[in-house]
Amino acid sequence: MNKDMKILVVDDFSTMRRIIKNLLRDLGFTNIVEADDGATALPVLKSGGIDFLVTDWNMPKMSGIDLLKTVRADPSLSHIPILMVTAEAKRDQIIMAAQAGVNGYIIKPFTAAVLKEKIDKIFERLQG
Amino acid sequence: MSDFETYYDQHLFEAELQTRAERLVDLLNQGQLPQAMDEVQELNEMRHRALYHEVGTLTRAVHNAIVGFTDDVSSAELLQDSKQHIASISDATERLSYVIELTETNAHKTIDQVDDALRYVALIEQDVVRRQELIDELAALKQDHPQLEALYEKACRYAVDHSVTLASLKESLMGILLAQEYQDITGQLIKRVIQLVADIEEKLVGLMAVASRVNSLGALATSKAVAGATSADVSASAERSEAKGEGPQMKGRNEGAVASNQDDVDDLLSSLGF
Repeated sequence: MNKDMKILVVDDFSTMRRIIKNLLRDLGFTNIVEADDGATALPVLKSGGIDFLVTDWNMPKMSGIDLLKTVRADPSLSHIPILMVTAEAKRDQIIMAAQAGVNGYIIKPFTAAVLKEKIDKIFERLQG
Repeated sequence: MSDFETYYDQHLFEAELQTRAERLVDLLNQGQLPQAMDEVQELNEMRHRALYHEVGTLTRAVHNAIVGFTDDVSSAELLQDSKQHIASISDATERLSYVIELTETNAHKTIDQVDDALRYVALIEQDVVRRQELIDELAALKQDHPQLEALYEKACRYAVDHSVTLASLKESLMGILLAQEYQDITGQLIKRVIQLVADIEEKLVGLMAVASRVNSLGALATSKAVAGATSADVSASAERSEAKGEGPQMKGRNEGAVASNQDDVDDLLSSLGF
């Protein structure tokens, strides 16, 4: 796993973005950009260079699930691994995200160890 | 409205219902069909009025509760500097939004402090290299001076303890950081409650507006009832079409009443006598 990879963190709560950013930094990832909504994340993704996407589900303008579907439907973006970090814990929602092609799913509240484990697993699978 | 008043109103309603029902039976027995139909119409209208009154009272209560939210909680022991700000907010939903803002600001302050502390931890971690250099120097010296052996071992033990404590400190700080995620979850819940409160008031005000239409229509239908025997059917269909036709306009008006400001809601309720 490349520690220099560019990660986009999408969450409408700035507190949450800071927390995820800090946790990622602690795991050795320092190349992190932020967006506060799916709608603002999309132009960042389209401008290129994003290697990994971490997104919330419930956001005002464009939800995480819509962002996920849009990314998967776009040939220039569809390869980007996506991790959802969300308070949405219903079985149906997790299935919906899986069907839309999510690589990992973390339910809030979560721990640093869980975040590390999921990221490790995602990149192990991609490399394997 | 007090329980007593509710009881009293209900009691009056029942008494009047009974009187009118008896009159209706009398009229039917006497074969006075047009007058009997009039009586049915009035009974119907009475039911509308009772319902209208209930909805109106409920809407006024909800509206007052939302607007009066400030008075109920401003006496609570809130942060001194926040107090003035809280007192200036007169609406429950705005108050809840302010709670989100306040927790967000404070979560950020906490994270700022954690960030600072983590930077100090990083500095100490960098110093571990210098610490090791000192221990290495000591190790070299003790080759020629065996009496330094005990001192060297003490320094090594200290270094290990120091590193363990530093790791624990870092873990605690990450724990404080992670604990701030409560703000995201409470914020989302509060946002949902804000939406719920706004929706309830909007729906009730909308219902009031519809009810007031139906009520005035009922009065209209009664005057018509005198003219013809089929008036009950006429008024029933008129009510339906009126209530239906009012839909889209009502929507716009409701949104305006709730979204623009609470005074509009106040005005509407007052104009309807609540």
